Amino acid sequence: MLKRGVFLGKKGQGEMEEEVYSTLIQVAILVFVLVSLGLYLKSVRDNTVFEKIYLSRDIALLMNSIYAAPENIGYVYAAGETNLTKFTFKSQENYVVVNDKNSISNQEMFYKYATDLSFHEEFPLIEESKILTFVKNDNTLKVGTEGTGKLNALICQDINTKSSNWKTKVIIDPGHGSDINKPDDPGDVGYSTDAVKESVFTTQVATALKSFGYMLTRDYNYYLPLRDRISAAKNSDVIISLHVGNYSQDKNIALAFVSAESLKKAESRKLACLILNIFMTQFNFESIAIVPVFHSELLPDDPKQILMQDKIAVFLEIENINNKASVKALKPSEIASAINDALNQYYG
Amino acid sequence: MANLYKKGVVFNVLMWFFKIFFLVIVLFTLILLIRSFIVTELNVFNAESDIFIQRIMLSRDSISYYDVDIDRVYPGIIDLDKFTSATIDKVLNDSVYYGTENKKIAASFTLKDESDNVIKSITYNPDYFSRWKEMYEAQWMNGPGGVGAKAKRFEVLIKGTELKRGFLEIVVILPNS
Repeated sequence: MLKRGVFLGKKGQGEMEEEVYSTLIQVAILVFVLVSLGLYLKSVRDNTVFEKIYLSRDIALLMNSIYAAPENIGYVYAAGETNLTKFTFKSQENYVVVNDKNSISNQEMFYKYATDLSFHEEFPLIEESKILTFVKNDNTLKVGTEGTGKLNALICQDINTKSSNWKTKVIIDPGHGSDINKPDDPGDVGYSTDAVKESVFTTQVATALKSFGYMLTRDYNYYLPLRDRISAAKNSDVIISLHVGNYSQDKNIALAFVSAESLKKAESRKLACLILNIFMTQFNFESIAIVPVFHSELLPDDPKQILMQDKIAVFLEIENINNKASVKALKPSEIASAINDALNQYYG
Repeated sequence: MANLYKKGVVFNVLMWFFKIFFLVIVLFTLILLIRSFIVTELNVFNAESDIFIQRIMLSRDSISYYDVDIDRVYPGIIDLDKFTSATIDKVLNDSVYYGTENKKIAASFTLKDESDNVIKSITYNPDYFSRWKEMYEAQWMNGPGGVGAKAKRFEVLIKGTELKRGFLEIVVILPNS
């Protein structure tokens, strides 16, 4: 005969015991369910599956775009408000693979992109980086975390241009020109702001180049018609025409125009490439580019007519006149020195 | 047994099962509810097909005329020499390489003259193009396993022995998953 206790009710042995066990099991199940739900909610809250899918697709599309672009490209990818440091990135058999190194599931998300087999691609495992950088230069695409580096350093064509006694074959053509003291001077100031006048700037660069031993189409600031410039350059092998650009945006850029139809287009492009690369190294240009010129599209009085088709000719637009601070900061003597260096490299 | 029935034990056990079953249902409902709020799908069909078309038009290794001397691509000028079935496969398979088996994208390119007569037609990834084209024509477009298509028509210059005006029609098909 058992005495009545905690698990013994009045009505008989085991009745209370049964109810308590039943309740305990139910409570245990409930706790298990609630804990499971809590853990699930936590995993959902911490889950970065959307970000991983988003990043893998976004980067794959970016890779496609970069491969599609015809020119050299440098791109810094920061993904807006998404913190990239907690993700890892790599490329695996044409897939961008993104993972979250802190996630419990450790599930990789991936998306396919197209490569170009003529390119050499470098996309190593990237971890704990706030940015991804994409640099396409020549036939190489590098994905990394460093700055885009010498992003706009153009690849200059490897053609033999060595020569001696070349200085006398080069003529510098300072664009525009205006002499206010001459009553018969029609005046062509070019682009001008209160800070800089194009004709003055080009004359200063040209006279600095004269000190290196180059010939000039005009050696002080006066109006010189296009036909006289062409005539003055007729006996030269190389023409470098100096100008300042006029672009609506406040960017500082340097452009080199070369004839697309010239017999010397490869040589002209190489010289333009060398000049722009030195500009990029020595000055604070955001962007440089070589622009082909089609003579059929030029008006008869377009200054680019100086790009004669039987000569090595480069039409330089140095800086953007609307970027007053940058134009003002440029020193004509340094520009001249850079052009001289490029010519030395070209013929050296 | 009679004792068990008397005490309602069977009833209690059945109630347990019912309660557990009910809890499981509730749990799964909650999980499904939460899952329905997690967005994991991003539709990049439009961006992807547009980039593909731009790539075909802009790539120097593709069908546009490319001047080697000045390293410039002329995207609006289609080079007939490069627009042949024999070379296009190599050109596109090299410059738009999706791996050994391309289950990602397929396209057709049709060059037409000013009167809309077909000059030449070529297909990129032809096996999957024919397969997916049938699915597209059967309107099998939604959900995983379906396909989406985009067609574009460009007014171009065709560079053969001389420059002629014409049209380039591109149809791009991508699977949904």
